Amino acid sequence: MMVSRFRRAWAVETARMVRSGFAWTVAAVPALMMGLVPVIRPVIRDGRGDYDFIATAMTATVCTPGFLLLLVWMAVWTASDLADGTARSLLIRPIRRSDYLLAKYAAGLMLGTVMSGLALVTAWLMMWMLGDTTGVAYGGEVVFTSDQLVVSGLLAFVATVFALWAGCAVAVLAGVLTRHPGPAAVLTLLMWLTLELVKYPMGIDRWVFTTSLETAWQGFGDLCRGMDAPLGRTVVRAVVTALPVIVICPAVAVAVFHQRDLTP
Amino acid sequence: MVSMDVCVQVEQLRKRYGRTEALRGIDFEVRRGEILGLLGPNGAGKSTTLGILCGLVRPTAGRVSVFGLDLSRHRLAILERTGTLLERPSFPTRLTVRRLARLHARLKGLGSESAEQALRRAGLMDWVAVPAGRLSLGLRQRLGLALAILGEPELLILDEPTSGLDVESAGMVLDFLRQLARENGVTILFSSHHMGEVERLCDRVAIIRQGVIVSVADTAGLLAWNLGELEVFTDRPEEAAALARTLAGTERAEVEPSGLVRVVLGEGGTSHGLTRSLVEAGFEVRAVIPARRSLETHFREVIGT
Repeated sequence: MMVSRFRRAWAVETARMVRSGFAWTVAAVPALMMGLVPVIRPVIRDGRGDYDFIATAMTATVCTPGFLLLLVWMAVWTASDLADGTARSLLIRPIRRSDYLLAKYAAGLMLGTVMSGLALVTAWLMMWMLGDTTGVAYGGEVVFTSDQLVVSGLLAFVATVFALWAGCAVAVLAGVLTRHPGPAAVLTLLMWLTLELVKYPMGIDRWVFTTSLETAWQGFGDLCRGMDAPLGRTVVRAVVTALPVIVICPAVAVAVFHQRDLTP
Repeated sequence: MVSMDVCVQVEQLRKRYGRTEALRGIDFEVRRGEILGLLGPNGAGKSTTLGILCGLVRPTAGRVSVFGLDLSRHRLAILERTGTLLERPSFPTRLTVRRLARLHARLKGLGSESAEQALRRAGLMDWVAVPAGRLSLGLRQRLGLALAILGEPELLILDEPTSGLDVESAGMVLDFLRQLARENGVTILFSSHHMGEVERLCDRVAIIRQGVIVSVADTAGLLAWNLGELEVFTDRPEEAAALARTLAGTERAEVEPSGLVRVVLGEGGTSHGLTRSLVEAGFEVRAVIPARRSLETHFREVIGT
């Protein structure tokens, strides 16, 4: 019954998300921005593998603009429901507040995954159509085969997705705390900016989930240049730094939301 | 112990918002199959009460049981059997009426046929393809009503159900609610500012003022004919009132701006005696009818305005 209620709420939130123009924008913008990446890192058929184009493209599209768009969307969507009464109209149905909020978060996770997946597929297609998909070779010796790079690319993708999910969790919490779209977006961006500004000076970057957005594709880029990069460890670190945020932020959001009076 | 005849039982319900005490220990019950109107001025605590009943507002103290179940522990089971219309309902703007009804049906564990049935009953079939955000206020209210009756609930909680509706639409909604109560035995608790609506629809009325229930009464009893107060329609009201004042059985006689003479009878006074005295004095008595108390009169007496 509990699962069934969550499933119902999730179906509703997903249907709402699919009909949201803002959600489509979030999903499409990084993929559309791929068109500009060849300006920074040209992709041409010259007999050399172009996998590092993917590393550049993912960093330039998903890891900052896409991530921030996703965060703002998640925070605004959550807060708008509380501000305009939509949450009230849904919560008079037999679903728990936690079902509703976690369903919304789950829809955000889907959007984050789709956004980065779409960007990755677009980057891969561009490389495949315009450049070379041969492995990384130095002095005639193949250092990494094409298959190895595909696996490494997927590992970097997993690390990225975990960081996006953690970002969504922070945004949901900001949405619940502020209850208004503007302040929710501002709070989310401020939290991100503060983390980015303090994590290196304070030496806590290893423990901050946003660092995975940089290290995952940096590592993949290193592989593309023939260097060894511990991508497996990067993924583990991404999971370890993101998981507490993925668990704690929605849990706090649910706890706060449970205490709230949903008045008009 | 909650009686089987009681659908909603509210005991010593309190709600405090910071320093403001919105509800100060209210008690009332809604019997199965009845329509109870909750009347009160703005800020009296009507919406807070209804908000608590549908689980949107957390009470500070007190107990609410619905269908014999404690609301604090069985909220979901209660909501399965309850339909609610909030004041100024808000819907996701991009979803069409049909899509929205289907999603709400799904939240209640119902199929799409229930959604279609509810839309049909609320007269919204012509708007099923319209996004909810483009509906007029009145149509949005009807959509809220359609969503409230999804799955044929046993209890309807309606906060200002005719708010924003024109007279004709409001009348249709009231007829519809009365039909639901009479034919399907649905229990209805609704709040309103409109005395006429409450008079027309409710079996009982509870009046709330500053977070306290100050009166609960049968509507029929409140609106009973008052044989001790008469409204006299005559050709010369001022002179008729002067004559009435001289009669032994008259306590008070006044001419109202509309020209009718309101006569309050005292001990020994009768309608027949008054009429005969006026006719014998040469007045053309067009009608003598007992006054009827209005809900508004009762409301003013109770609220003290």
